[in-house]
Amino acid sequence: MTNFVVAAIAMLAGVIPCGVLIWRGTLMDAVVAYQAISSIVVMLLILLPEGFRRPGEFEFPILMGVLLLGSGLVYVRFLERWL
Amino acid sequence: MNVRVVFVDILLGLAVVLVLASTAGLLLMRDVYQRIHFLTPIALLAPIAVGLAILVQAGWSNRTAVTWLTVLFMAIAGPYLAHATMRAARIREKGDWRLRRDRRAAARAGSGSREDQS
Amino acid sequence: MARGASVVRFAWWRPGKLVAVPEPAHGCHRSTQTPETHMNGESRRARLARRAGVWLLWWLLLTSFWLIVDDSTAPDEVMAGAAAAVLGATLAELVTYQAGTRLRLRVRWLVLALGLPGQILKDTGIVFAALWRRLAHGEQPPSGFREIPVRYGSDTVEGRARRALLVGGRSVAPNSFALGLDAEREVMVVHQLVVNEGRAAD
Repeated sequence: MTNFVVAAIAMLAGVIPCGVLIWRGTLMDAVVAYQAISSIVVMLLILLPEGFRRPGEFEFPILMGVLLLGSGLVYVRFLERWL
Repeated sequence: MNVRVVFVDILLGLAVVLVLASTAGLLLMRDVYQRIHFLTPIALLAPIAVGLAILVQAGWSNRTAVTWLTVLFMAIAGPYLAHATMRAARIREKGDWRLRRDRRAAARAGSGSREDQS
Repeated sequence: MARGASVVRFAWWRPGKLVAVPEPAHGCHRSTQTPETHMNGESRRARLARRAGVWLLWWLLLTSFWLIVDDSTAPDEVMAGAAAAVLGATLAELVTYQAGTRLRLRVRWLVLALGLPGQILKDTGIVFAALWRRLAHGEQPPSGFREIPVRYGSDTVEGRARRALLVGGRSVAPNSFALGLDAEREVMVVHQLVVNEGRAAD
């Protein structure tokens, strides 16, 4: 197992506190935790293809990075105005 | 031991520490305003560390270019997303993100004033 | 009306003419500029040239992204990327035109961004020191909302771009996030995890 895969597994542990926050926190806390999980997932999608030496899968983190902004803003806009 | 491998391990370790410490911060802080401050290390600093690790590992390659493009998107999106989230949280809580109006509104409603500490 | 005709009309509608999503009753800051005012004084030819320039810029950017991600200079791949970029550029130009968003930057504003890496490192130390104190001593960080005097500026394209950069620049470093610029009081409202500047909201 390469160092990139080990780092990805270690970083995955960071999702657990975010999950706890989504479960126990308020709606806005859950949105913040969701944004943190999105950022962690983008990094996982960079680390895993590098660790497994699959360069063709480097397109996913770019897509996810762009969608991170869009999805986060949609949630935030709805929570600010209508929900 | 290969110096390049050592550098890559240090950068990856830094990224992991930043993420784990920031998620601990997310959980331990008292309210949403304090929690949002721990998004920047996850959304900006850790990806930069990962990008540097990929650069050291792969050199000037397509993988590095794609990684840094992703880091660029996250670096541009992160501050505005955090700003929008904090603003939305404030509007949901107080009705307006500006600081004095909620006091005037509260005074008119007869509920008295309160400090804006969070 | 035929569907093709309504698409053409959409592209030529004046900005803001689309049915807007209704604003809520509570205080969200609205620009005082109406959709028509920024078109005052701009001839049809100038407007077309500007829109063509914006479209070309988007096309170049999207084609570059395609080349970086695809990592191939084979003619059919490049043509596919250029065609995809045409679609993307057209959509992006239409949306920004209808939203009435324009960007005009000054180079000296970007020069100020050179200080951001140092600010980010400093604020990271502050934020993690606060986390350490919370973990080790159970001490809540002294956070709060602050007001920082900032010139609001004009309600022009340049003024709006300047304010967007100010908000973004203030929100990059982890100790401080901007909520917005209050036009009436000429202050920027920020939240700091460890308060170290500005004046407290009174």
